[in-house]
Amino acid sequence: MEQSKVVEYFEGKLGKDRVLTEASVLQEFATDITGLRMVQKHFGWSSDQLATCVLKIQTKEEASEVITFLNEQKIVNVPRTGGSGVCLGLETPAGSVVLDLSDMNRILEINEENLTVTAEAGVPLQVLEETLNKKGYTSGHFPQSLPLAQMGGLVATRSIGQFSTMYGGIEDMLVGIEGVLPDGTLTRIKNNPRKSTGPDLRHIWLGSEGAFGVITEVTVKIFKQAPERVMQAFAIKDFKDGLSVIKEIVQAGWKPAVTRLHDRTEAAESYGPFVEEGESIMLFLSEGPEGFACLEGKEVARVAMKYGARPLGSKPLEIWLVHRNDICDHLDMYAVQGAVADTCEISAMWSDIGTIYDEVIERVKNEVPHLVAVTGHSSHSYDQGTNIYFMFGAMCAPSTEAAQKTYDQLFGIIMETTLKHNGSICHHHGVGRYRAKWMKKELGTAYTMLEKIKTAFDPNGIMNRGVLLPQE
Amino acid sequence: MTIMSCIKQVHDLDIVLKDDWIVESDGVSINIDYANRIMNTFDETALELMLRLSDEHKVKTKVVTLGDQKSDTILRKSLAVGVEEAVRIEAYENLTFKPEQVAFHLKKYIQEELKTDKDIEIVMCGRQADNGNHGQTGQLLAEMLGWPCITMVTDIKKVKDEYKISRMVDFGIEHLYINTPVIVTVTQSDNKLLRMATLKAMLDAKKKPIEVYCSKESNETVSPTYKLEKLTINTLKKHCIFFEDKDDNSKTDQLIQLLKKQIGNEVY
Repeated sequence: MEQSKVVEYFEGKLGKDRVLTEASVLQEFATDITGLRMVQKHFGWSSDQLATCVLKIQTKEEASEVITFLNEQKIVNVPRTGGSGVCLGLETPAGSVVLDLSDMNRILEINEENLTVTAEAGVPLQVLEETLNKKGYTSGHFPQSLPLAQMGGLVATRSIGQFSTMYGGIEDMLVGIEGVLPDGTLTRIKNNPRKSTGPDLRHIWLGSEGAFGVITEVTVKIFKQAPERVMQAFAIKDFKDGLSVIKEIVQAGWKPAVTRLHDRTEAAESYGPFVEEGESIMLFLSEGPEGFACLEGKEVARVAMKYGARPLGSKPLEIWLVHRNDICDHLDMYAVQGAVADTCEISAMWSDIGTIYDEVIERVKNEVPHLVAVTGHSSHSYDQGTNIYFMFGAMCAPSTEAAQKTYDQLFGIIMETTLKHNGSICHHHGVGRYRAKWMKKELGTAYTMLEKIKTAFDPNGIMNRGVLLPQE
Repeated sequence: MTIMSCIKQVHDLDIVLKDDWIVESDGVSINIDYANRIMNTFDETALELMLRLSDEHKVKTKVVTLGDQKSDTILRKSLAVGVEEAVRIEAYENLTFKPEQVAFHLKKYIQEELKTDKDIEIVMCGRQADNGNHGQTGQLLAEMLGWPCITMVTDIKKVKDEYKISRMVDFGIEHLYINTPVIVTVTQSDNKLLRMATLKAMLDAKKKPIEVYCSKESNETVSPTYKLEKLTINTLKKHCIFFEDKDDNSKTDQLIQLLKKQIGNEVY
């Protein structure tokens, strides 16, 4: 179908003001906030793969009707809410249609008996959290993208928040969900505390990245705001000792909501006056019902001291709490200086994570020319392992091609090293289009399951083509 | 030809928490030692302008700061981004609110240098420090040296044998051709962020020498024209009105009603 006819059809259905076709808008919607694109834009990059139009969807019925049409016409679409993706998952294939659900922004119900909130896909997490706080509740979900992200996208990318060690990732919070399948069918998974009715279908949506349908509404858990909070920081000489401290704490059954270990470079950069040269820093925040936080805090301190950590009081935590999402105000701060900079988060079992950290840092330092910095921290821990959130920056010649080459080299080292030691290539940013090329290695023999799910749900390949599965 | 950039180490004020702005019992200090120490942002811009000149012309670049060994961090950062020489004028006293003394020590050092290096053509300073915000050091230094001073500079270019300086004025940008030697105080402008240093350059900079200059003059040599009496915390009060959606009255309607009321009362 000709692009002009597609636009005409949607203008008839939604009205002209909800079908955006201006070139500048399409360019804005052509990508997300991946670090690579940030610096490439600084060097003059613009997308030559523009969508036909952006549709401002306001109801689930509209979403269903629109997708039915797109499926019939075999037109690729890119579902989108807050736009804070960092893996090129929102890049538009040429001639695609963007389904922008950010106008679906109503909080439908706060259920204080069952402790749930039901919200449309476009509800900003920050609005949700502030609304809950007024009633004495919290979502318990605090990703760094908090000022930007919206509920549909958070579920679609298997998001996680900074308080995850206690509250879990979005997969632990999702109770029920509604979405439109690629054939236009509106489906709902009802709210239940737990069930044994075959596979948990919520997991089709969790991490779906728009590849299996469009999420229109979610019901997630809410929590009573904790009456007590204990914050403490420690300096520790060796990063791996810090990993051992965290492992011992979580495996003993304690779950400090914030459990972080920053390596020596990050410690010096963000907490310089607190640490001696070469020291890493650990941040713990315990919260919960009365008495719990103090009890947990004491045990955290005991384990930390056992490994020779040096107590630093609560100030580093206070600073972290206030400044943890500052980057959202300065997303292009490195790009404007011509630096290829981004973050990359991986996870692995306790037996492998230290080796991955060491090897990545060593390889990046040795192999990447014009490196500015490579750092890492652990910020989400589990009984079986933890994540490492690598941050990197390097200078390159001022061209989009040079930026791509440098970015590929940096990311490639992290991906290869992680896979070599049985880690997972994405902890919480998702796959998008950028990491799809490593998905066969990531999933191994299970890759065929993902292929079959995609084919079954989306036989025409209209849903965000290019994410999760690499394009042959 | 030598260009010298005067840089200052300051606390990163963006990090300081709202509740920690507490004046100490001496009435003239605030303890924010937990904040990282960084290069003053205006000085960073001045440094970048100096480096851009040296990218295009054969000039010797030098940075100078006042302080104790902790200040070496910003000198090493300067060396890492390409400055050739770094000098620290030894000073252990906190000179945050004493621009006259800072200017005096800089003057003594520059005069000493002029005995061996007649080619110091431009001395650059950030227009003010992030902490004291006096905006005086550059101008006092010019007065003490008897040199001209150009303030609010946003760019410097060398055109043949002359320097063309752009400076911010109320009505736009003023372009001047200047004679040297001269002091310039630099303000921020678009695309003048200090370049980033690579890890290798930072490691190399750690091995480079830093010249330490011990002033023979004591701080008492300068008689300050004023004395800091006390600091007070300026508490900002927000005068915000938040509208809530009501069934019979939208936020827009409420805003219109409020504006009409204010206009009616001639309160703009």
